[in-house]
Amino acid sequence: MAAIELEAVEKRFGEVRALAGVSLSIASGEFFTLLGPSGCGKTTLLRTLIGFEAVDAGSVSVGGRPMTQVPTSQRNMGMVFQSYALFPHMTVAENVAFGLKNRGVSAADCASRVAKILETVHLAGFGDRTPEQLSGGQQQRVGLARAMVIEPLVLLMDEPLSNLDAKLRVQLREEIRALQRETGITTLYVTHDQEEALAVSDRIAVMNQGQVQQVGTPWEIYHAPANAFVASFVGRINFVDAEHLDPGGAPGQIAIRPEDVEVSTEAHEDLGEDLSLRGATLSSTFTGPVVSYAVDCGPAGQVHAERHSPAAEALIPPGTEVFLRFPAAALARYDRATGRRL
Amino acid sequence: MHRSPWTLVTALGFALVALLLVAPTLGVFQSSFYDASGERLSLGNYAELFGNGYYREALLNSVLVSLAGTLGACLLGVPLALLTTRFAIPGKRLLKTLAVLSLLSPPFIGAYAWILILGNNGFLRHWLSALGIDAPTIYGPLGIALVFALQFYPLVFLLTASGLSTVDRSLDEAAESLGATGASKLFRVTLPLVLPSLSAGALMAFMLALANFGTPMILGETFRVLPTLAYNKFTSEVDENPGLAATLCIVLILVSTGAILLQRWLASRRKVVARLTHRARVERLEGWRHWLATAACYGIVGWSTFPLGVIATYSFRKTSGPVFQPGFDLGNYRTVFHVVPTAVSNSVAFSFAAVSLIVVIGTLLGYVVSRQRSAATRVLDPLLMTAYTIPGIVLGIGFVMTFSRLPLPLLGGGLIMVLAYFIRRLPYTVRSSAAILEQVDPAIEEAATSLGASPVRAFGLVTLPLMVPGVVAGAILSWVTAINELSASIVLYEGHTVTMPISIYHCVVDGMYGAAAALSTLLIVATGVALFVVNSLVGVEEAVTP
Repeated sequence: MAAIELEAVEKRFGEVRALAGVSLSIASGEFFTLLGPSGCGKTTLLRTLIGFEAVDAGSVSVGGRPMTQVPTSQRNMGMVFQSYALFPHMTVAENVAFGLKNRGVSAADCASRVAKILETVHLAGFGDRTPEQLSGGQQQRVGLARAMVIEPLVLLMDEPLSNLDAKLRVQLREEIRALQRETGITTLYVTHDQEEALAVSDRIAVMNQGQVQQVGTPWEIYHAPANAFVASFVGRINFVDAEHLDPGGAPGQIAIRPEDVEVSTEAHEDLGEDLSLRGATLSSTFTGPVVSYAVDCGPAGQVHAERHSPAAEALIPPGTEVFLRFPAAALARYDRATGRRL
Repeated sequence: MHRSPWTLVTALGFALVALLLVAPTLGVFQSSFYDASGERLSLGNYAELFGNGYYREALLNSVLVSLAGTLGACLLGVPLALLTTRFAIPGKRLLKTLAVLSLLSPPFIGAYAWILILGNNGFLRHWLSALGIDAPTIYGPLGIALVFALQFYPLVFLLTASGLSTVDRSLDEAAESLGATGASKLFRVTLPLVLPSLSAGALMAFMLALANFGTPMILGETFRVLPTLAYNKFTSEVDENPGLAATLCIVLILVSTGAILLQRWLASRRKVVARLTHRARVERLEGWRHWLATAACYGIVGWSTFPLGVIATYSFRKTSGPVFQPGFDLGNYRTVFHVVPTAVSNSVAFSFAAVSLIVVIGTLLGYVVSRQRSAATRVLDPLLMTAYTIPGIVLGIGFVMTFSRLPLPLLGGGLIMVLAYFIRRLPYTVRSSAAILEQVDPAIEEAATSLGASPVRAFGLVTLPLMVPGVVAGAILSWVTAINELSASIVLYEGHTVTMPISIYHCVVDGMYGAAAALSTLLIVATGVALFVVNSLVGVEEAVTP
């Protein structure tokens, strides 16, 4: 049975349609991520699920139980906030115990559960500190412990890592994922960071303008995007008008990821089904593991290509004439007007 | 979702505004259209006010003496703000606390102290005349303006200083790199940048000066201003004319509203988008410049606190009737506790009652205004703020006019005094608790409800404890203003509800200077202790300026 069921959920803020008929079904034990640009409705969806916002239409149910009329305090969902939202006037242990006390858990039971969860999030011995004495990463671990200790039906996370620096972000997301696997708790995760979404999720829903664009595994989202929005939001991609690349073929836009474009200073022979373009390098940017080239292809526009960092003598200087090869297997066509994949 | 308890609070807010602000103001407005008999509708009062030179002069006097006081406040407050924000001056906290002490001391104690200093028998005049110098007396418009300036400059100082501390340093540096230095930089870059906060401080000084009743009453002699004239017309037995008093009140409200609109316009023309990335640097002056700057700061603050020291000293002087005698004793304090003990107990009781109401209702309304945004709360906030534009004397007269008609047995009792203190201070507390809430992440309360706390429990366990330091500080300051209140209570009191400021006023008028000094000293000490507590809670400047 699905753990979370959303059915045609609608939410308006004045004139803005924040959620325009969202339906999702999230399985029990799944790590499910809402991914999209800011203002796409992903946070609103999370907030309607826990009850911070009332839905205008549609239904929300968790574990088969309709939630729309249940007040937030009785929904039994754990939430982790972008701003951590720790209670600054309470110690770490008091923060974590807050939800247990609301549930009338006995003091002794409470203490042992707090100690256990703090150990789980690597904060054993930090119980007596106040939140301001902790680093950002530690504060969010407290936030996580506080949300999990109540053994909620589902765990909701709203951009939990975006206030942390890059290295810590990667470390903590791996810890979160490991903890989720271990406990098997159904998790709904919100982020605008596509790399983070790809790294942690079982499945991802890409959202834009209040609607779900595509639901799929990270692999499907990246390699088989349902439309041009998903293709361009998740990872980088080149769009070239079909008339420039494949005259006589089907109309539309042809898309290819930079890492699939092959760059050569010599013309390609026996292309087979593959397509090709000629152009001149505008710039080459060396970023460590890869070199990316911006290639001016005249009327076809600019095309980006990436190569694994080659030997120094193989770098192509700007202004060089190059031949681009687009392997047929890596190509996708999109309708120019609707953006739908053809 | 969570509407139940908070809708009630909003409704209570509207009811209080209607009963304690709108009804009294409308009552005054209505009375202004009735003739002296109180029976016939007419425009006679307005014709009289603008036609009779006596009243026109009082209007002009009010505006001019308040403007002069405001100008003086700026001349003292702006340099003090510049010096303390730009340079390392020792004891800044002390300077601020002393400045606030002179701001919050009872509004006419300064006037009374200056009588002791520069009155007809003032000690400074005696000393100077011994040297052959005939010093001017403190009586008259210039003396009033001086007392206003010395009392209200801390508003200009504190607001300008906070404005200056948010001006990005790089703007100053850019001006210097473009060749502007010294005075040119000050007048073309620095001051225009802080104009919004400087003018807000000046506006508050102007409004307080315009509404001030005690100082012109004590120092004015034949020099009349609107509040004193309104008081006389309302309470005098010989030429009582409530209609004309009401008209004077309406004119007073119009002038202060005009001042607010003018300041809004000024500040909006110079809308500065402050993007603070580099805090202003505090420079350390060397040698004589350091001593000069320090002396200037302490000179200004010392000048304004000097009268308070004079009063405290005089309170221990021996007196015989109205005359101070050589030597010191506690006679004046004995007089206070024998002659006017009810004044002390009333002041304490009324001010504590008012503060209790303010804390409970102000905190709840502050929460509603900041967290439960709706069409209703958006109207409530500015409605409450209109209390700022209604001078105490006008509110007092409005209370009498309204509650004499309503079937509520309020007039002449202690409750009406409490309600007057309450409504005059309530908007401030609403604002300050709303401001405290702006600093609290709304997600904290959401986190509490997500962890199973009901909205009421979340407010009590999480939001309220975070508001406590700010609310306590605000409450203490409310208490200070309540215990020092004169202009509304002087209209509302009766024999058994007399308060300390009213007693001081009567003592001064009756020439009982010794008792006045003792009572004033008690108020000053109470104010000082309260400020000390506030200072250790939140820092005094955060608490005084809304």
